[in-house]
Amino acid sequence: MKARILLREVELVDRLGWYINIRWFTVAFIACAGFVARSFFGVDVPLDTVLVIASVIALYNLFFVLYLKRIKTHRVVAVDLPRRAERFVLLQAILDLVVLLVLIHYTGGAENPFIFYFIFHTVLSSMLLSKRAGYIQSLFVVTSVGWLLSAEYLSIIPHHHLKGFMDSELYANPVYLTALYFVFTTSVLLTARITVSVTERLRERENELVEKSLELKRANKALKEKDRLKSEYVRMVAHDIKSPLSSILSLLNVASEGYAGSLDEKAREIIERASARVQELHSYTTDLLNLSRMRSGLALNIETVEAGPLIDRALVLAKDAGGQKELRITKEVEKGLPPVRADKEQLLHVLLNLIGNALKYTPPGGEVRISAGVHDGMFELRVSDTGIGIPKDELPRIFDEFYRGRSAEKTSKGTGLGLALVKHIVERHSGTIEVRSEEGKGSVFIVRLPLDGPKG
Amino acid sequence: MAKVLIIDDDADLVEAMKIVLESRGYEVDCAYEGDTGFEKAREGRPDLVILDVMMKTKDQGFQVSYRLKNDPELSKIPIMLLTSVGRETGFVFSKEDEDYLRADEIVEKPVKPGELLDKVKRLIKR
Repeated sequence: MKARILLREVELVDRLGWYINIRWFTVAFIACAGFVARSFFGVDVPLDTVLVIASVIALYNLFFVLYLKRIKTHRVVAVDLPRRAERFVLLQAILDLVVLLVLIHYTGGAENPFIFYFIFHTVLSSMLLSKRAGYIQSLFVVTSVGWLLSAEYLSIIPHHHLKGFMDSELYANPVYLTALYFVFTTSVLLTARITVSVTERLRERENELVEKSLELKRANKALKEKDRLKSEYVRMVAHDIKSPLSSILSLLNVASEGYAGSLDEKAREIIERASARVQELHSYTTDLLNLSRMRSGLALNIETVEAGPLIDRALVLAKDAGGQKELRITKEVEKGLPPVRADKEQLLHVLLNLIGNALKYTPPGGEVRISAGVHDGMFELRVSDTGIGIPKDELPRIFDEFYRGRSAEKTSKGTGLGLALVKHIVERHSGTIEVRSEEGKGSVFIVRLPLDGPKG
Repeated sequence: MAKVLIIDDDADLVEAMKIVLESRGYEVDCAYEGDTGFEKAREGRPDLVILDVMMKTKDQGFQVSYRLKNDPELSKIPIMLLTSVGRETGFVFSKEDEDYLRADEIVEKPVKPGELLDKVKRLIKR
């Protein structure tokens, strides 16, 4: 309901400005028409009167401009803006009507064909006023013009004949006068009817539109909240599953390595199989936990991070996890590289994932290179390898959740969550991640983060 | 033989570590909660405390390590923190590491017996 009023307010203020602007044209038009009629067509138009009337319109229009400005600046205070605006339009319409009436009176009355310009007045006021006020306004036009014509016909007020425009005296012909008035009246009333109904429909549509967009906004918000809650739920479940898995793995490790007494070969093999499966589950849960943590919008812990030590730590952890393989691993940190503002644990996770992948998909004898530097004012991390690479058709999907490439399916076990998580983390840091790869030659992952931390 | 105190609310994990450590002749005492753990450290004067970061409340492990390191008689006892891979506590593991974390070593869960023994041996030797 509130929104409907708001729309009405904006619409009103907009249209008021428009109404006022049109009046400037009217002023210019009246002055020009009077001038042209007199100078070029030799019509005996009382130019001074016309110009005085034009000036009067200009004067009150100037006042309207100032008043509208005030309404605009005091918009917050004007609780009753719609009512005030409506009164404002009414005042303008009445003033216009009176002034136009006077103008018509001094320029020939029924002799002046511009009398039909009252139709424009009717259109404008019907568009801006409420339905009822629109109709009343048009009735007002019809009656006041009727009164003017009759008063002039009955010589209650003098009739100003336009010399040089109409030779015969129109006012001597009551039948024509009546016909003219009939056509005038029906034109004005019909115009009012049409304008009001079109305007009404337009307003209805506008209101519907506003309501629909509000509904959409609400639905969208609710959906986002649901999604966040879902991630929060997944996070809690993953967390609760992870702890016991950790303990199970620890116990299985103890048993399989013979600390709890010697095992025969078969028993050890069985425990190792169990252990491998639990390990899989554990990694999966860890990824899921991290991903849902990122998605549930948990705040980042932004601090100053030095790239060198972070890469060292990631290398140690990744090698621990990946087992030993004959690979050449190099680390390059640009001299004088400034620290980056980021969540250290999360950034470590990014590196760990990328390095882990590089180690996993690079055959023995290959090379893995990690470098850190500044590129275009952004902090840049590169992890490149000489591994199996990623097929072109798989490149666009590798950051999707649960997506696993064909070769990844073949060579190793994984969850398909690692790179999705990396992307989430990078994006939470207002950064970008890019991958270049050629099948059989290797891959490069490039992470860029703003040096001064996430935006906003 | 050297004495090790394990403070962790996960009894199974405690058992796993206890078996490993006892197999190498360490004398192992256990506490399943922070306050009890601190008392046991005061009474038993272990040569090493293995401490879980996350117990019933998220910061209990940190509180215990802080109390141990600020007690003039206990501050010399090395502390080994048990953490999960990836952050779960919302705590920072880095701010001027030693000062903030007050741990001498970190072991990640799940526990690998070989790694645990190596680190324990190194800490007790010091």
